[in-house]
Amino acid sequence: MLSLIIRYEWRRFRRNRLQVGLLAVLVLFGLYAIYYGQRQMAGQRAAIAQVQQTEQTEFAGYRAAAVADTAKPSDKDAYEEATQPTYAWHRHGYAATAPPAPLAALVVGQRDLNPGAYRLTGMGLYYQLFQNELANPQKLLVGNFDLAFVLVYLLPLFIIVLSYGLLSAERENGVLPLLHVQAASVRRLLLGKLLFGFALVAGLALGLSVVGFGVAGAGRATGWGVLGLWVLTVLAYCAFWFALVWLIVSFNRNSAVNALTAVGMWLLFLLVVPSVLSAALAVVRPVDSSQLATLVRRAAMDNEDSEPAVRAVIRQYLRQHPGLAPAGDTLFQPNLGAKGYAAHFQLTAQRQKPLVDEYLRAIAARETLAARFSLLNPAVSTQNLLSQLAGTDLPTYLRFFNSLPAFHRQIVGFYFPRLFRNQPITAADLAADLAARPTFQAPLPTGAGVGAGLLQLLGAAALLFALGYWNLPGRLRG
Amino acid sequence: MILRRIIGKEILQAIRNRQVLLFGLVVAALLLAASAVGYVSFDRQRAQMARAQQERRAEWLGQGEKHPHIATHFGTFVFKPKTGLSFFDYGLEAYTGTSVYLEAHFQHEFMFRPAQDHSALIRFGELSGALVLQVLLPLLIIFLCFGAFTQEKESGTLRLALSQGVSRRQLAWGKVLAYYSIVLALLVPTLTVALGGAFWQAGLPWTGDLARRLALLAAGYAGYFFGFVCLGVLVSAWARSSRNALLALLTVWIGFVIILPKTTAALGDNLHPLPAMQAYQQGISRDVDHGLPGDTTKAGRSARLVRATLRQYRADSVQQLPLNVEWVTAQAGEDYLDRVQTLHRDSLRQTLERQNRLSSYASFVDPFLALRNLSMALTGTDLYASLDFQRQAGAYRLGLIRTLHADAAKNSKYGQFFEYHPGQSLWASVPDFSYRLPAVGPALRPYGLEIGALLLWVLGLPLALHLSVHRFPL
Repeated sequence: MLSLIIRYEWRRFRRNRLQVGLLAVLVLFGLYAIYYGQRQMAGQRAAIAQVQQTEQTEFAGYRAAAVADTAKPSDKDAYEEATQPTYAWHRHGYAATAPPAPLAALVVGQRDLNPGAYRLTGMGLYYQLFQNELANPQKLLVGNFDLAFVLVYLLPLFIIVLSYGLLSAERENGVLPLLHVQAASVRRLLLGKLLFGFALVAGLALGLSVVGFGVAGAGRATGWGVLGLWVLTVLAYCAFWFALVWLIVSFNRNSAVNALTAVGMWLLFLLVVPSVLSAALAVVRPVDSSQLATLVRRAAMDNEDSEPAVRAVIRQYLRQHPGLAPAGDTLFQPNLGAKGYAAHFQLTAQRQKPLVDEYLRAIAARETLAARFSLLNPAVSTQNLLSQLAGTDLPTYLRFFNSLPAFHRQIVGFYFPRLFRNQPITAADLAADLAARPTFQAPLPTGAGVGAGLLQLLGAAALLFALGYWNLPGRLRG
Repeated sequence: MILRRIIGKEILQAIRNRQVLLFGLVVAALLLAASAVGYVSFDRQRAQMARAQQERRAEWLGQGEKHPHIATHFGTFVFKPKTGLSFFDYGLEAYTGTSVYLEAHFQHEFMFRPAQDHSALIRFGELSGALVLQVLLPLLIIFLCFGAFTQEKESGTLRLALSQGVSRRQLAWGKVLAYYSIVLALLVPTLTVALGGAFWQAGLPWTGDLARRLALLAAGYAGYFFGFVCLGVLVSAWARSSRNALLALLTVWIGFVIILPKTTAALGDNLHPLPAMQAYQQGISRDVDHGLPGDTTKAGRSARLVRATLRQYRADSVQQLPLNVEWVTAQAGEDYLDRVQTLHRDSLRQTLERQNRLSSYASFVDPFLALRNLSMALTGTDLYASLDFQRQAGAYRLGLIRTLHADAAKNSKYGQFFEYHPGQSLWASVPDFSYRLPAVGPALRPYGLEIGALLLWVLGLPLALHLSVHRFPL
């Protein structure tokens, strides 16, 4: 019975030039989206590689300078920059990078807004954290044409086109009375047609996803579990839309009303709910980054010419880090100025920390509130799930951002003891593979919360489907 | 006379359609909500920017006595003020960044794009008056118009009407005018209350420029809607069934507001990629250190400047000069940096323009793109407003540094570069930054294509309807 329905539905689909055309267009869009995402990520990887390359080139230079003959003045400068902690603590830069995961090519997410690489020195921490990549704001506004866009925005439209006339078209074409006299109930017939549609759309979504995985190189390294969750999320989202259209169809109205209602729902979930929620959150949980502007200022010491004042700054810093003090009386001299500034910028960053913490708290408060509405917001939830799996969501970026202070402490921990104890940096210290030099470890992605989001989506789909199932007019059931 | 009857009948019929009525009410409610929210955010952000600007100015003035070079590194910040109409159309404001740090040796880029601290939610759009009018209203018009002729074909009333001697053209224009008056009847009072209220609350000064901007906005949106009404009636006249008409119109709408904007932006980015920030900055510092093509290095330039200054004052040594040449070279360095950066910024701007050019051309087939870009330009929230702010901030930075350097060159002696410590009177001699929004004429200059496209839309569709409507099939 079911195979018969599906066979005839397939024939019918093939003869409907509009639907076949739409399918072809979707496939083309999907393929372009995969290419586009791949290009975006190639650009980001190149930018990250350049930051890493800069670090390597600079340190190769320092290593060469550290052992070079210092007879020439220019060589002497290079030697000092490489080996004297008075220069090195604020000039030696280390790359902290979070390269995009393969799946990022399928959902660019927020990665086009937030940097994937930083170059950190021993200078004040916050001074170094707020520079952006260059970007075209108009393009940021419009968003990315990635596979997630095709899946989240366009796939529901195809689902609507396939199934808004599920029942009404039969009636309008005069076929419904014929169906009534069949042995099988009309409901079973409709379910068979629905199943056919779902199989078709799911096949399209899976096909595009698999092509995407292949092009992006997402396989064993990404983890089959992550890819499985991606597929499940996409299927759950399709199921949600089929269930919604099924519910609309179950009211047994005419095709135009069904189509209008379904498009209305699409508009509601893709545009109205997200934009209203965005606006409401902006009013209820405002986040003000204008207060952060001053963090990037390199304010000098108040009284840098006065030796007692500079000594006081150093003493204040060393009260927190007594281990830095050298034996004997060489704490302040030589290099009073460099030590004073090193201490000054660390203390400044400490004073700035509450401001940054407050900003991060405000973001967290807003996101927590937004998450409460995820049930009303299936499209955004799906986008969030996909970008969480790909590591392109805001929380992933914030984990990267929040791992920078520890890395900065490593850098400070490498240079400051040498600075305060007046020890030059040796060629051995600069050796390429030395683990003692600061190295950045990007935080690992987490799958926490994906399961819950997925269940929510599936639950919503099941509920809508059940409602539609019982809502079908009685005479179509038996 | 007959036209008036057609209009009356159509209006009555549309109002009786509960779905359309419901959608109309939703649109009106969203417009009111958008204005309220837009006003609250606008007011808060305006206060934040003003406070931040004031605090930074106070810091600049109260920085105490210090070496001018340290003062130029202490620098100051300028914040992009909210433009009066930005509560209607947020444009690119979430994506352009809000403040710039102005210090010596380096012209920073914008920092803190508000969208950066948001999750994916913000990428689905922010509720604003512009969003409702640009995206939702065309859909309302489609819902109003798709059955204009097809319903009458399906119920057989069309043949009846034609047999009464009414021409198809008369019917078509009657329907167009009816639907358009419904749209205006919904919008004019709602917008007057919503925008007028927000405007009055915000206490914005009424200027001639503002009036021109408002008038152009009103004309642009009115034309955009009129084109959609004509399109809806045209498609309905030629479609075989209501279902086909609706499907065709919805496809067009999705192409206009979802697919074309994304496709053009994505292709623009593929065709003209931007440089990475690090490469961009390295390019600038390379040109500063080694000189622009044809120029000597930094050291060579400053040696040449010292020789030229000696010649100018007919002095044999720098000690004889009436000014401290160290500051003269410092200023020359800043001037040169400004030259280099202007060149690099220009090439960056050209890349951005090339990226966006595609969407400007596409506005000939997509009126949404034309109106979106024009609306951003008229509300001062487009790319050019942001570039203009950046330019004014850059000029202010250079002026600030020049004031300090000129003072130090005059008042300090050679060899005592580090000893001169001026105070507040010098800091106060640099006026506070105040951003001036360009007038509407210059603001619209880059948008010739969009203006042409919108005119084509407003004139072309009625013309197409008028010329083809007497031939449509029954």
